Amino acid sequence: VHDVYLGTRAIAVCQGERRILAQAVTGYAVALANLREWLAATPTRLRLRVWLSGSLCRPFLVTPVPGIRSTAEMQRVAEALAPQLTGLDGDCRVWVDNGEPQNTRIAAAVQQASLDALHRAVEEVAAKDCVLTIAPWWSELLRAALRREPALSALAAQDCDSLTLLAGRGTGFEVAVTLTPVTDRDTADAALARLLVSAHVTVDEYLVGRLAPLREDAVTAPLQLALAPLLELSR
Amino acid sequence: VKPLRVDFAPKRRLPRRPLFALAIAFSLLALQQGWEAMKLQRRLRDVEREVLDLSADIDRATRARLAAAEAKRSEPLYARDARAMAKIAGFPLNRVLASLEATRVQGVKLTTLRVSATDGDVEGELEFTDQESLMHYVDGINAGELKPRWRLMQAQMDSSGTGKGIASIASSHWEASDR
Repeated sequence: VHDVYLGTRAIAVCQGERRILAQAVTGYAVALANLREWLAATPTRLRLRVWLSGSLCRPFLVTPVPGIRSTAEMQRVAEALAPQLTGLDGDCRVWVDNGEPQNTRIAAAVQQASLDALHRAVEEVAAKDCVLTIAPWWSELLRAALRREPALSALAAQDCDSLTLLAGRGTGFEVAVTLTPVTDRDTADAALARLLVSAHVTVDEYLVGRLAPLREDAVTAPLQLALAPLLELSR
Repeated sequence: VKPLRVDFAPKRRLPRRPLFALAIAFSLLALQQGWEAMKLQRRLRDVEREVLDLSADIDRATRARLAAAEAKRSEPLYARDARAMAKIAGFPLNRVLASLEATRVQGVKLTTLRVSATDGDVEGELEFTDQESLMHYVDGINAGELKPRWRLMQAQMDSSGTGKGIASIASSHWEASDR
């Protein structure tokens, strides 16, 4: 299985602990073109897990709307709210966490056009079913971080084009936001400090994961997760 | 916070053709198994019927055997008659008469002879003039026997003064092998 990271500023491909491809790009379309090129040059049949950057796939919170009873209604409301709450343009595909419709739920949105372009790029040169998953990379970071620290209450994820903050006590989410574009570490740190204050989140401890696809030096992966060779972890 | 299972990849559909072929294969297998089960049930019913028939045969044979044993135990009348007839036919009358005729003693005369062939018994009555002749006669008819066959049952002199006496003799266990 190959892990593909797609962002608006970088593209990377990893296989386990090995970084196979890492390129700076000037937009999502260029990233897809590079992906298509790499797929075409790879003779073997591939299975891909595609991880989207925080800029392409953004989290948001869906607060309870009076009168909503079913999950399907909640899904439609989330899809309608996604452009306004995330800043994404056009139609969005939205994933909503399961739970009671009367509770606040976390959701993730991606532009339908981004997904369509990805499918077209892959299907041009590879088998239609070679893509196993398409998910935001920050959800993979969250999964791995919680495995290491189950009591974690806040996680910041910085990658090539964004900074995402997820925070909440217990299993709930009180903050789920992405700032973009955020392309360098200093900007990310300043934005994170402002976010933590403005969100009125008092957290005992938080983790910051930074995905650096273009980093030249190889370090030991701090967590067991996809794209581990690209990850830096700090507090 | 908690782990999130976000996924925007299209749901993988199982290929229809292999599923259809698999469904047909399982249907055929089920049909074949059903057919086999039906055949086995039919065979089972046949065997059960066979067992019932055999059990009935065994019952009949057992009843016949018991009836035969019962019949053997209750001897019919004709069997007894036949045995009696066989005993009579086999009775050694000539031997009895020969033993009596061969013995002649002066003063002793055989007057009566009763023969019961079925029991193998013979009784006779004698007239005698004296005791000595009588004993001599009895010894004479027992001559040649390993054990005395005849025995003197009774003897008494006539009280009317005729000088004669009457005696009775008896003999038993005459069988066909004594011919």
